[in-house]
Amino acid sequence: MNAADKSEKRNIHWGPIIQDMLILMAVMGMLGYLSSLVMEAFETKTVTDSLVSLIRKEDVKNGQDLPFARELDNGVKKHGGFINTRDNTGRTPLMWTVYVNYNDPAETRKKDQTRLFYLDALLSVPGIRINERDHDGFTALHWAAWSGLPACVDRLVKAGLDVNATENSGYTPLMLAAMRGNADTVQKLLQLGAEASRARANGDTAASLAESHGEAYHKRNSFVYSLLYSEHRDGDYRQVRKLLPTAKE
Amino acid sequence: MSETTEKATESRNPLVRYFSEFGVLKECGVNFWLTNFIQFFDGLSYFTLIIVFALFLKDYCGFRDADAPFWVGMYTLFLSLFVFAVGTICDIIGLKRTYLVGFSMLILGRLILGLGSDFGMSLLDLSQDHSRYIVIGGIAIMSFGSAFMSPCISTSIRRFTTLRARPTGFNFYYLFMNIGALLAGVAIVDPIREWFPGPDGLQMVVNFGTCCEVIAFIFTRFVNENFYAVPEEKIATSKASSRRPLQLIGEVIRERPFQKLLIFLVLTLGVRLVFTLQFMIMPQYYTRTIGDDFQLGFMNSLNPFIIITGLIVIIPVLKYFSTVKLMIWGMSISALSLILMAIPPECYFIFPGIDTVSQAYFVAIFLQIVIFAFGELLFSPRFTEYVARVAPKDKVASYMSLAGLPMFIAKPINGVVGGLLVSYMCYDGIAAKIDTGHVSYWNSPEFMWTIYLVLAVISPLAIILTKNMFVSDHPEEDVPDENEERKELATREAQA
Repeated sequence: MNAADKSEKRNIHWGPIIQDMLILMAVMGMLGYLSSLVMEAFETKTVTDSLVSLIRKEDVKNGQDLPFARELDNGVKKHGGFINTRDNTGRTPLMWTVYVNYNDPAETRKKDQTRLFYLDALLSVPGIRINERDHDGFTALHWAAWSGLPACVDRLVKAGLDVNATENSGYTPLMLAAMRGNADTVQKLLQLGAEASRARANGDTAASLAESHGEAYHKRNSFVYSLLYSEHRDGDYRQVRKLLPTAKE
Repeated sequence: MSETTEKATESRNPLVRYFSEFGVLKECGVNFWLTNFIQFFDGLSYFTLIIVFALFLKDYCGFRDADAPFWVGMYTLFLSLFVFAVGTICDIIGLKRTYLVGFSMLILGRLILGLGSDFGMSLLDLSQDHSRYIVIGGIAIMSFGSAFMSPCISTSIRRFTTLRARPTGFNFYYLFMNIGALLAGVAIVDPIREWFPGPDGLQMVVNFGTCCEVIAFIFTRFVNENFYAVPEEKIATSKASSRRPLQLIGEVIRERPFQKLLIFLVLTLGVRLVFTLQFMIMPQYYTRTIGDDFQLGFMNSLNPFIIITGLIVIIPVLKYFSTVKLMIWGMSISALSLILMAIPPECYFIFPGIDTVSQAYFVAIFLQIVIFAFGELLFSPRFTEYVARVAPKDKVASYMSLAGLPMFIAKPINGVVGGLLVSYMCYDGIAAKIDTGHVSYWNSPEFMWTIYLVLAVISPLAIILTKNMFVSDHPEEDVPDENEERKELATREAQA
């Protein structure tokens, strides 16, 4: 770098540039702040948001999750009825604990084991109401069955949830598990006393739901776009259909 | 030009024709290639982050449904704001020093973003709610660092290419960037999420990006900033005055062409905001309607794949059409692609092989991305070109940098609206409620897309209705010679 270059750089007036940047940042900061104020007016916040988020993060190390334990402990101490707090869809932390949404059954099975840790922690909190329902009548058992978490299903039924409870559209946990092709869960629910003969108002049973959904997956595999996307769930649905007696039987 | 290159240039095969022009890059030195590596790794880092950003904030850092898209929106806002503010800085403090400042902030911000949440909770004993502030700090620092990259890389490309190779240099840079975007999805995000399912995988993606930034930073140390492929430009650069951002606004705000441009920019806001939804809302939409193990990377790679194909096959043909017409077509196609997600999924049951809602969602998403990308391919390059064309010859750079102004205001608003819509109409667990028939059209994701569809359609309609205003005094609309056009575009890009 020659002397001329250096003197050119020394002649730069930084003051006005920095001033402009600060003005712009202040304007944008205010805009952001105003936007967040507007958002707060419409946003639904619940005291259990962090707890639910920590459950879903599943950070269990050496058999414990310290941030979760601290959040649970503080929440229970600070807020009465903390553990039964509902969010904007009517779900409690217990329902969130037994909800996952994976297409891969292997992944769901792994989640089943981790979630059990959190489920046990919540079930041990004094005052927890396990039979709560969300806005559409789902109990925690419906969520666990739909998600395909057999170990959690087992724990919930043993804790006292009704294995044949129906949500607002008439679905039982067994129907939801069958509809999703969750073979392990169907098996578990049947072992725990779920009635396979129950039917919705339109005649849908667990078996018919498994059949129609299984058929859809099977049919789709013969089309070209299954090359792009296919969960290969045929086997699961076949297994579910074997477990459930059809109407004729 | 050698005989082989000439033959390749004349070839009818667009692939051969496209790649033949890269032969000229042989005359660019090692600094040019170093710059491309820097931008490749920086791009890889940016694209991997942006694919999972909203999900990472929500699932790993504990941001609420409405907050996550809001902060992604704020990140893009900070980014464009800082680009605006630091645009000329590398001419002032030098390339290497700008890279040093930019990458230091970028890497620090990335580290805070990726590890801040755990650090706050485990080491500082903060609640998750409070540790979010650390993450927000990381976002701000990261966006400031990122803002240095784009002007710095453009300056490097300009500096290290000869006049003859410059248009091709910028074409190569654009192609290489899109290859990075393509790889980010299929080769990085999907495999990482498969190996580490759930929130951990999202954190891995973010940390992978940090490693890419470190690699890019190492490359910057080998760049020779005193090298100028065109030595005369060294004198011009050293004489370049540092323009203040607000001074720029003051200079052009009273000019009629700029006022007209502002109206045009506001009218196109609707559809341009939809472009940002791809990373603000769509990741949540995909994973919530189809499943957490949805191939997010694959879907996000479709867009750059189409852009790369388009660059090679379609763009050379488009030069025969008028800029405004192409923009209207591009906007209309992109906007109308949202119809595919706005109609109830049951509509797809008429197609053979689609019998469940999740199958219908998959097809809707796939088609929307493909059609949207095609529209974007027509719109985006022409949009930049239009902004450059309406500017008086001596103020192209000012107009180009101020073209982002309406988006500054729109981005946080879009973040708020997007976040709220997601929290009400595409909440986590909605798939179970759709399966059991509890979701009516008015509180479904389809309604959310209908709102965005209406917003997006306003743009092409408004431009069609006011078209005369935007084409009447543009003799440039006459189709220019291809080479002339390329040179002009490269110069504009360099100026911007």
